[in-house]
Amino acid sequence: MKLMKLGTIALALSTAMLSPVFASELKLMWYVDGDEQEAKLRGLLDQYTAANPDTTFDLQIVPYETTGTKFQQFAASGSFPDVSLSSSMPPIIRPFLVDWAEVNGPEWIDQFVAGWADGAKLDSKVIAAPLDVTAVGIYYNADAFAKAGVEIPADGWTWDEALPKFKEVAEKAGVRFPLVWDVSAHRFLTYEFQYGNHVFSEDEPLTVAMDDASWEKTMDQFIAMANEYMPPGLWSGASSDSPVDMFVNQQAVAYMSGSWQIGNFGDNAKFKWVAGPTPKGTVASSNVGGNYLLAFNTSAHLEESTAFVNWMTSPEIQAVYAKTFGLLPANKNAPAVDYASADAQAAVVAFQKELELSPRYAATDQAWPEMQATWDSIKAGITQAYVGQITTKDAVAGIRAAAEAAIAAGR
Amino acid sequence: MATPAQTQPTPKRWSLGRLGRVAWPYLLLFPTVALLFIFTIYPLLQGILMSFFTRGIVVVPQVESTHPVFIGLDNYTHLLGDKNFQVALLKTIGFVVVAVPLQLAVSLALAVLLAPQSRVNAFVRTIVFFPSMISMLIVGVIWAWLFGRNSGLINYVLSLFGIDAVPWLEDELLAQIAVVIVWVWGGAGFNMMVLIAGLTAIPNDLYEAAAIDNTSKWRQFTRITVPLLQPSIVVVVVLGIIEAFKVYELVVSLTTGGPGRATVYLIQNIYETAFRTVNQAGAAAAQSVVLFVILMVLTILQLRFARKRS
Repeated sequence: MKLMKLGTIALALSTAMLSPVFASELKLMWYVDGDEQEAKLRGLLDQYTAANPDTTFDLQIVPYETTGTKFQQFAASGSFPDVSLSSSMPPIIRPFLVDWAEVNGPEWIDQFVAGWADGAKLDSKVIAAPLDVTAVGIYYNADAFAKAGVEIPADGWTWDEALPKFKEVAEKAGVRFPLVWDVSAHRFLTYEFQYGNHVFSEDEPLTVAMDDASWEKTMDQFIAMANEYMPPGLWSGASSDSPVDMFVNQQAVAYMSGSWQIGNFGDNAKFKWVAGPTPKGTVASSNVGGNYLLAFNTSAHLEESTAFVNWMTSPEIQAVYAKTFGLLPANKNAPAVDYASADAQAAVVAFQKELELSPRYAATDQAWPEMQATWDSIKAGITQAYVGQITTKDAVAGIRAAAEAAIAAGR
Repeated sequence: MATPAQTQPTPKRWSLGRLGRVAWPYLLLFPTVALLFIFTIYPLLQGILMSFFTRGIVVVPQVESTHPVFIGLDNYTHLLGDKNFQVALLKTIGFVVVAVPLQLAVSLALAVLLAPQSRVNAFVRTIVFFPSMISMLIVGVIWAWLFGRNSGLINYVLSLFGIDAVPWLEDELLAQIAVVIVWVWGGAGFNMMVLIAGLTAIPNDLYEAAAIDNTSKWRQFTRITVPLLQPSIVVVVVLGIIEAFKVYELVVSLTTGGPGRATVYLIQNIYETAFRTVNQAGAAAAQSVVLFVILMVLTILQLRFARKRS
């Protein structure tokens, strides 16, 4: 009997000692907006560990801007995390990415939002798992509109119709600026999209599809709009003014940004705000973006990594993830998301509708990896043209040259 | 009479003890030399070598487009027609020419004013030195808040007196002036301490003798202080020029190179070429080599000039 007891204790002890050998700690590289988001993410990871006790996480938070450099370092050393969040898949890391068509079958990718899913495809491979989708669009200070007695049209309006109304609201409601706009190439490009302009062809073979004259005209219009309706100097590229802070502090009637602000406004805006309808140009367009999860084939825990990514992108967890972070789920089969507030719910519905109305290039342009090497030229072009250092013709020529160089550099 | 064999000195044997005595200094030097080679000489040579190739910043065997291709001096000849590089280089030289003498003048004035020992001076010295302890990145962020056109503190204060908002960072000239002012502010404290150390080494007898001769304070400054402070001034100027040529973090956090590209200096241009364009690491390396040569020539000239004067 004693011998049996001893044997049982020895077995229990050896199992306890050996269990860490079988447990897997996945190294995750992620970026978040602040401590609150990090806490929410850790909560989600704990949920996974509770269901899969053998999988734990070493979460490494990095600034979004540094992910490109991190990937270069990983590629140089050949040592990658197990899983990473990313908005693109630069060529240097592609040989190291898990092919999801091989893991889950080629049809697996079809369950995700079309434009964003296209960006994950590389020939017959699927090199990323879509996690969430973002849309570029406008927010209105509904209280200011109500105070000014101006109605926001439910069925949308053009920029020509909307801008004078913004000004009227600003004057009547005592708001400092009619419009603020995120100073980024991505948000500016949305305006070009709204006038039928885009950078790249929608299909292979990849070419630069810019109509230079139309780009210039649209850029001129944008600069005129920035000068008349936005805070002075905002688009100089040197301004320290924060458009989001200006909107949250009720210094702007309208704010052109994106769906990722929904959670922020839910927490911080102390007034009634609404998302959309975004004014249109000659066409209505958003700008499809978002995040992917990347699993690396260098992982020592490949099975656990792919299981975790499959869990994160499954319909049920997509709904939880979208609700937790105030995002749009990338998985089309995700159950209806019950967002934290009616305002957030309405905003999500509005942005989803705008994504559906967008032309195909609003998704494909950003999905091409060549776009990564083109963004800087767009930002430099519009800011330099805005301050008068170059003409819009030179700015457009610079964007074209960067896009052509990106294609020439190959994949 | 001694035979030749007897007069010839006996060759010394390489005993273990003697070998140890000879090798000991080299062993002591080895860690420093090894670190210097690994972290300075090797990267420098690697950078020079890289400038003769077109290649990605990282070479991945599986990605052909990143592989190095030898192109000789093409990266250097390309610089002759690269407008962004030329403008950035000229702006950097302009920044050095304005900012370094200004910083020296401010540091010297502060050093002379605050060198005498007193509690007040010690307190003020601490305050003036404080910015030197902060990262230039943070210095830039702080001043960006102060200089903000529509929500900055300085313009807010001006508005209380009915003065219109000044586009500190949005006007091309004002932005360049702002970068110079903030750079001087950020580095003057450190230079002041170097100069104060130099001032304390000047014998007081010289000033006493000059005072007996009724020499004015200005004459004492130009004939005693400045010449005897020259070694410290050379250090401040050499370090200042190197730092000014490398100005980057401050600009990125203060103006991000704007308005437009008005404050894009050489290091930012090198960074953008290396990391923000595809497979242009060789071109960025060529720009770095140009910067290295400029800095080396300037440093050698300054040191020779200082040696001659002394």
